[in-house]
Amino acid sequence: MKWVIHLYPKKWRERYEDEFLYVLEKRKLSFKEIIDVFVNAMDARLLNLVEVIISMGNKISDIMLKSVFKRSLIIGSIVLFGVISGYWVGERTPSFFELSPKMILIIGVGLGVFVGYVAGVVRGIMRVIKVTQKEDVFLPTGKLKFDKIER
Amino acid sequence: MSSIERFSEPTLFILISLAESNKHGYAIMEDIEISYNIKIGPGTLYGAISRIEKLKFIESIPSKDRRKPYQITPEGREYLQEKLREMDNVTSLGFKRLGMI
Repeated sequence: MKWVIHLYPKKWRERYEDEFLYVLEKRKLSFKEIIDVFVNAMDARLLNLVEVIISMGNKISDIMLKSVFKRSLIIGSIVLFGVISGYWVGERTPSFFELSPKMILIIGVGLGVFVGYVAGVVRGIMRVIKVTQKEDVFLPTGKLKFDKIER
Repeated sequence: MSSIERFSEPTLFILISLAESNKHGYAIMEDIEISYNIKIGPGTLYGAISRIEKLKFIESIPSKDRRKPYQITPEGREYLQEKLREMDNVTSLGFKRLGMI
């Protein structure tokens, strides 16, 4: 009758297998008791499944929170760096009206290139986010490559 | 109905058995059979044990033996007292209304 232990989930067997088998060895199971074991094994499997689902839900929430936290850190750092740099540049550059037309042209081109670069990067990031919001992206190792922003 | 309520009888039997002394699963089963003259299946017994262990009403005592003894915890004692008081109130009211006391 030892085979009935395999009706239980692995996690349950790891914890109770030895003592449960001891009970089975000491007792000749009646048909009613086999049914009792079967019903309770199914119950244990169901409970195990519910625990796995809850645990997965918690993990997904954790990943989402971590992802939001990481993004906040990156964006916050960029904003802080921009404010400090802007203040530093503002303190050291002459007034706009004191600049020569040639310098204004160079600054304008530089700003245009920079804004274009930032817009391109942001557009790229938004496309990645859009894809990963719809479906999970898995590496060959089976690990999730990108975190979803929304479920 | 909570999961503990579904197994209220085996839970109470196990807690009452452990309130007397620490016992392993098979000893609990035998004690229940002798004390109440009812048979409790191994599935029901271990279903109840795993639930009340999760609720920290009982805990296993480390042992090298494959038969792990269990002991009732203070939370288990408190739960048992509360349930027995409830049962006592119901029993008293029942007897009173039957005119037996």
